[in-house]
Amino acid sequence: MLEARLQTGALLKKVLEAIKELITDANFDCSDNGIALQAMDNSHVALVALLLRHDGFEPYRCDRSLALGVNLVSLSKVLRCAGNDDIITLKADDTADVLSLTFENTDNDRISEYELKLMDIDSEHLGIPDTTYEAVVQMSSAEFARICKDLQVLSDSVQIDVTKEGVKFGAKGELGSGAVTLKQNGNVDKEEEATLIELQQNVSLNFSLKYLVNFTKATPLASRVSLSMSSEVPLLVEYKMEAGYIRYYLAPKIGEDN
Amino acid sequence: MATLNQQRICIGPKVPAHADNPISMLLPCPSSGLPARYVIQDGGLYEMQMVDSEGLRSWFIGDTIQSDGALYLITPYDPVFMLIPILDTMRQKTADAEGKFLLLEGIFGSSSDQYPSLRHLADLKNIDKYLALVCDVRVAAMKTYRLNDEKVMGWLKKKVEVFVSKFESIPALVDSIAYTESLPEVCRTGKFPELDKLESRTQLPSMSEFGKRSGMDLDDEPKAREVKKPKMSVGQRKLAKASTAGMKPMTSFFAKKS
Repeated sequence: MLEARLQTGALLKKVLEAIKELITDANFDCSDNGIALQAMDNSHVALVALLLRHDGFEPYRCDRSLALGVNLVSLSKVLRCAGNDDIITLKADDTADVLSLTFENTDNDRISEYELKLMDIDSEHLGIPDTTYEAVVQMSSAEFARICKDLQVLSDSVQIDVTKEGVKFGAKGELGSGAVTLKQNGNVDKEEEATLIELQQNVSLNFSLKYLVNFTKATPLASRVSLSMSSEVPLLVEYKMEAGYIRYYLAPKIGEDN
Repeated sequence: MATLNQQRICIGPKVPAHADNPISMLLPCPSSGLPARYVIQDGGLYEMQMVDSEGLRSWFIGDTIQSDGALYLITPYDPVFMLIPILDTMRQKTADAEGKFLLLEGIFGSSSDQYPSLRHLADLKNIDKYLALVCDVRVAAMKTYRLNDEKVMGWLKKKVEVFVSKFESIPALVDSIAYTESLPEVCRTGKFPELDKLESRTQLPSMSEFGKRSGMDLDDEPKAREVKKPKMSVGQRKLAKASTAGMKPMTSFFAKKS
């Protein structure tokens, strides 16, 4: 059985908002390591991998691995009934028929309990190897969200060029063209806003902006985002949380003139 | 401008002085399956039709002018017509099973979220007699009903015969149908070849089409009802429009885990 108590319920709410826009149904794979989720979008060109490590919960108990098949829209609706300051407890027994959620508000002694029906979902897990990427950009997540949103006005795809000097996001469309360049800086005063680049080799890749904008739904989860790129492999967009991460993978657009 | 005492011109049945207020409601039209307006008054079912003035005509009523120039007609409607598609939906007939016997509440209770007003039909005067015209009736502690195809054919045939026998006594009908060929022939011969063809197969092929159009779930398998197609979230719908040209699926980058 699973029992996981999360002090800041808002975290789970934000996590759901971040993945429900990309996938419909998914298994939450619970093990003694924590709660994980891996799923591809409908077109199979993007993948989301979520991990909520066990140490983010207090207490966390999972004796036997469990796959909880959840409709994410339904779960996010139930989570909307939880306040941001509520303590959320997730429970499921080994049959995995229902997921019970308890929302406790310590301020006004309110306890709400919900049960969500679970379903069987066939899911294939992809093995994602640890790779060294040619370029890794760490930047403000809000800045990344803004760039994607702004460039979407011009085009459906963005070209990301990473060099030692900085990272350039460029878009070209019928309307015209636009580019945003962020210079590498070690701004110590504003650590949150600094753009840091680790580079083995310059890269230049094209990605679908609609997908990138979709990924930025995770912005509230972390102030920083990292973009890891190598030519002809999927881009990794990672938002790190205190105890876990949400990672999006997106296939590059190949053979497109831009 | 809406006035408080809007007037309507309506041709309807004589209403006894102390009658209850009529119940006006939307029900699926058995012919088109689209929502249509019906009225229940004193336990009788009436169809409401509007001759639209298309904003070109008004009525003089006494000393006032009523800008709504529409004419409303409220005419008696044989409830059996309404019942047949509903009963057909609810019995859940399959190729090898004749379907279910249902209580009165079962027939009108849960049939359709789209038409909650169906429950009013259970209050019609002599509803049990109407049902018995086209249904097998089982009398145990409570009466239960199941649509019987042969009874339906018999009933429809009688309706046609009555219609044919009265046809020529209604000049307006003769005039309006004079330009279609098949009906006058039916009147002359008193035979309905189409109907005979149907009867020989002892089933009504288009019956389930009825229900489909009226928004009622007609799947033979009751299970199919529960498995709704997952609804996509806003983000997913946006992604569905994204071009994935030049993007390889995730499975081409990451191997499936066994």
